[in-house]
Amino acid sequence: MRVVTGSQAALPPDLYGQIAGYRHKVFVERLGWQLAAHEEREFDQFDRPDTVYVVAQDEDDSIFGCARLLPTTGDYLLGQVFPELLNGAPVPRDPRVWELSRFACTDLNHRGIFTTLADFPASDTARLMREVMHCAARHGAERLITVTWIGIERLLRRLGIRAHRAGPPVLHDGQPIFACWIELD
Amino acid sequence: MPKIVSSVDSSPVAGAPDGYLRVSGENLRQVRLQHLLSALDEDAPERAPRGEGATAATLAGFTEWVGGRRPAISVGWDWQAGSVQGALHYLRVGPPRSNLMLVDACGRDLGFELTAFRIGLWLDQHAWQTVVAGALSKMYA
Repeated sequence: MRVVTGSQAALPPDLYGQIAGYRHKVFVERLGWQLAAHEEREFDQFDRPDTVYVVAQDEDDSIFGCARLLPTTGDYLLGQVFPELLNGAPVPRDPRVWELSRFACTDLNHRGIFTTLADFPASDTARLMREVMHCAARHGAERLITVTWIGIERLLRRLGIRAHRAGPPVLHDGQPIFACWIELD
Repeated sequence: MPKIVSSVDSSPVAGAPDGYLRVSGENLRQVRLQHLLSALDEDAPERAPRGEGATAATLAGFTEWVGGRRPAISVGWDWQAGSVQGALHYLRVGPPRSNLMLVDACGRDLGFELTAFRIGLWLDQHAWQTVVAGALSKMYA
């Protein structure tokens, strides 16, 4: 697994376009999310010049994982779309808090990423999560916040990551989601 | 389950930079939890005993509860069902997950692990198993 990080301008040529294509395949085509897309590429208003991307590639340079990091000093997904998940707390506006979104680790070539919970800690998904955390820390983050499902918090805790919810899960499109804090120890 | 109403003066306040609601152990004991949702995990093969040509099914999942007023206290934990003297019994598995940080009498954080441990002890005093069993029966009937 090779990991590349950076803003759109800092990424190797064409990689951002490939990220957008990968996100379309994962989030729009496979997960069925209702997201804005153009020519089978997924991007939104939070893909900005200051957005930082973390990308996992295999030995053939195919993307099999990605994540998006945004400083909470600007507009971000949780603050703009899901502030109610903060359980009455003000939307974070702090250079030490970054938002994690569009996290995915799935091999579109159908090779297994991890098959059981017991395998998760050693999986590429876990490795990508650690890379995301390291990347955020390099940008001055002390904690991340993300909108996610209950299952993700369970997986993060299996990794020994200090993750905790901001408030109770809320049903969204039939799935319970919540805002999750991730400490970058 | 305990039904004591939480004290207004000691209600947790949202907005700490780290996202935790800080609560004393005494105030925690006064919180009345209400079931929010429970669900089954897909079969967990790594936990299932294996035999010749067959694998025993394992009943496991998670449950979510909420308590207090806004800001709400949120607690969830994993469970696994096992047979005890022929009856299905639900057991908590691992530390609970919550939005809480317990503090001592001086207001100092107990820390992530100790908070989870103490909340686990508190949960174990609740008869949550029957509520979870009932919720699952309705959901998967």
